[in-house]
Amino acid sequence: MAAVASSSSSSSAAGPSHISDQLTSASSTAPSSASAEVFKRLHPSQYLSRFLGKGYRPDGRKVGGWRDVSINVGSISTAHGSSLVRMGDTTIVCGIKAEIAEPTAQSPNEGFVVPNIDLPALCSPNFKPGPPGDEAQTYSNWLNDLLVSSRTIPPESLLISSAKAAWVIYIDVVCINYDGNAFDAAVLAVMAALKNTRLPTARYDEETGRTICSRTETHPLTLGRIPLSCSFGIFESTHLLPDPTAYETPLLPTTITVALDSEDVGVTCLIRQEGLGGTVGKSGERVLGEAWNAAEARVRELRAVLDESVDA
Amino acid sequence: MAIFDRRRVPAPEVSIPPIYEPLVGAVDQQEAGPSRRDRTNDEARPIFLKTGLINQANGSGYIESGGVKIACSVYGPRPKLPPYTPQGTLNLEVKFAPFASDPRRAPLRDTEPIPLSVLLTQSLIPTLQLHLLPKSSIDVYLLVLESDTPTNVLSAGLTVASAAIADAGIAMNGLGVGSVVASSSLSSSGSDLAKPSSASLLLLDPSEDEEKASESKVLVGSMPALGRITNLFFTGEAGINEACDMIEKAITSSRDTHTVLAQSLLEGAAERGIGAETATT
Repeated sequence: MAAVASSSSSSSAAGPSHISDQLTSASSTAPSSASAEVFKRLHPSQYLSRFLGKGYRPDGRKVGGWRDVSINVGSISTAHGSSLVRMGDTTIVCGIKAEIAEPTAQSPNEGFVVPNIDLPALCSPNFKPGPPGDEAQTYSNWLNDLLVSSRTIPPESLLISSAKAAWVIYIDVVCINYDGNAFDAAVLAVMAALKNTRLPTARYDEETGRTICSRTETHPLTLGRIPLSCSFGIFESTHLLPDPTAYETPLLPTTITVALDSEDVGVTCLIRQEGLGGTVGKSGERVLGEAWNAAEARVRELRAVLDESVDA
Repeated sequence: MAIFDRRRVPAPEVSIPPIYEPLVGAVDQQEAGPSRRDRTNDEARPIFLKTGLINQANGSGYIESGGVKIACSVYGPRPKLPPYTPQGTLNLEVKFAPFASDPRRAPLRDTEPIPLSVLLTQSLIPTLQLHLLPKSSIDVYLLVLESDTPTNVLSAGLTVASAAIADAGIAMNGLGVGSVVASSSLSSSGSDLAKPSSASLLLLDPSEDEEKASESKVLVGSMPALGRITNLFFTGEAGINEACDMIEKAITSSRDTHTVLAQSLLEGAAERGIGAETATT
């Protein structure tokens, strides 16, 4: 505890190299790259703030920059539709499986959409094996809310025969490599997979009470709004950081998520701010406005990548 | 009695995978015999193996082999929770993505991963030097993204798990690789393809249909560099000589897989600039 206090007080007086020297002198054999690694671990928020002071993020992008995105669709043959999204190092796979169920008595003309996000122990040392943890459950609910409120898959379009049979669209999102901002990547993966999905043409047989699917005829899903999400974090009430990584996320007490319709970025599908808004000298609304503007530009970019990958 | 799952978005209690209209015409072709069209009987399907894709983990690997796609990550050796153990512990979990097979694997209703995990653990333990890692655990997680048969998942799983453990820099006795051989008795239509000495057809790396049509199959886990078998899993019915032939064939093929595995480890190391000297020599 004392060591931490002394080094942080000296950090305000001297530059980062001084701290590094102190740390290396403590373990005299460590080379300088190792001491930077030690500093990164022991003082994560100072490490980040040094970078931000120079206008960059620890992964090399500008403070207001986003990570590169790539999308691959249709690589999983056991699914009706699938996609693989990489956002920086965050890697997400989404697979869509369709099954048939009887509609509920309350809404006999509607099918079902069941989205779930899993963050398995595989993707990060912070997750444990077993059923979905808190973060995964939260994301699943956010995703469900987003899909329902923006009517991405209108439930009436999934009907095969009224009160008898309807499609259930299982949307399963699995994270393979967790480097922060899994929600944005998951939303993008879901949209790409939905666009990639083809369902067999189904017919309900009144006599046998069974639904039979065609082997040859397929059709794409009827899709409504395609929302895309952009997340931000606020660091030490000074910096608005888009697309935070796994290293930055625990240092950001405030997070902002803005989801906009990809067809018309003027239409907002979701805005969520968790934690205290605003930065030093700027009001909460102004920061939210900045985030919103940045999100508009980003959604246009994501839309272009999405269209390119789905058409290819 | 269904268990109510509070941790996932609720789904309808009963849903069935699509039932397709009966096939017309194509049936005769499928049952024509066990002969292969796209490759020879001794030929395995190509393997794509890459290490180091999951940068959050200490070591990782990704394999595509036939109809199987598996991502694997290794965390450790890391400190283990209190009960003291003089040896290291291997924790291995096989998880199927719900969309990884046909029909869909509903979470909580899937019983297959546990026996697969146990078998895979057994195959991996002889490759590790756990006595060197007291009080530590090695956590190996496999995520199956696409699968055809459990046997192929095991075979590919063993190969990718070895790759990931080696990628994590954990000392091993040897690299473990899996291979599968199926045996089909010859129906009248396939007899001309058979070797004259044997009454049945041995197929290396069988596809889903081939495995379904087979009488017996064997999964061999081995360390080709040491010439040792780490696990043998035989199901079905076969004569002793035939079974030996099958094992022999599996071992021969595992040498090729071993070459692929070693090559991808070298490439992975060279990409990250470690062990570049070894790659050049």
